[in-house]
Amino acid sequence: MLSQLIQTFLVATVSAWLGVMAGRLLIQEGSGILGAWRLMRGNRLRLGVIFFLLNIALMGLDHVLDPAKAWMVRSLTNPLSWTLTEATLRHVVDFPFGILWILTWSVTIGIVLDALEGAPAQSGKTATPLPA
Amino acid sequence: MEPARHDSPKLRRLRVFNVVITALVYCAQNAGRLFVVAFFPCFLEAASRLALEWLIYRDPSDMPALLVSHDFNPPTWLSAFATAPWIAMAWAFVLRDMTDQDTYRGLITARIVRRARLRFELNRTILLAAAILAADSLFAGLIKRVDREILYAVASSY
Repeated sequence: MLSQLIQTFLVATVSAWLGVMAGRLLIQEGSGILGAWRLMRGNRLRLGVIFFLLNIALMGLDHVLDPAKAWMVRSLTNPLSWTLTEATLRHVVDFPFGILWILTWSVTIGIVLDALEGAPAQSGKTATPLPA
Repeated sequence: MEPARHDSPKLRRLRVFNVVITALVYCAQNAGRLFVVAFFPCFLEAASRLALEWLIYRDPSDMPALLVSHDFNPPTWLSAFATAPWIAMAWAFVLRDMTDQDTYRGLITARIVRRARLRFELNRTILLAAAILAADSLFAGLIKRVDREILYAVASSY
């Protein structure tokens, strides 16, 4: 359990750093990786904690939904070995969760970059800022 | 998202819970639009995973043992490279949408799928971002492997 938590934190921290680099590159085409690293100065551990918490929340949600997803697939097909039909159904059932995971990460990267650079979020699309 | 005002002007400190809650609220408030924006790259990502599973589990499987690794899902380290471009593409569309940059970029204009408002774009920047995300997936797989090796070593010492 402890090793799992340490592993999740380590992976979330490195993912956060690399995610900020990738996100900055996508927003400001041609921006350097070193610039993104400098941008995270003083917030590197915080970024790890943010993505660790998001990981825990999403993994928890996945854990809660897992029996329902497995039941849905098994109610339609229940082969003894891997089949293309079963795999396709599994991926179809898992698709909304896959989108949720990708969206949550990219939105968090956008919000982090907004907070660090003050660049994005001009329109009324962002959520109401919380008091600092 | 406002940085803390009492910090030095050069150093903005993130508020951990504020960022997490703002991200979740933003996702909930803009779920429909974000879903449409990211749908096609996410579909391609799921299709890539399915294709890799098929290559591994089909009978007879001709996936070389060298490529198989149970620290990834599907169990091959190729999944890091197969899915990264589509994830980077989805990120690009979402981030552009958040920043109001060229909102219509990547829209497929072919008449047959125009109404579905699907988006597709692969360029040098997205591929560079994909390389970073693939490195991240490889690192996650490596950490899982190291963790497993340590557990085996500890268990076998008893």
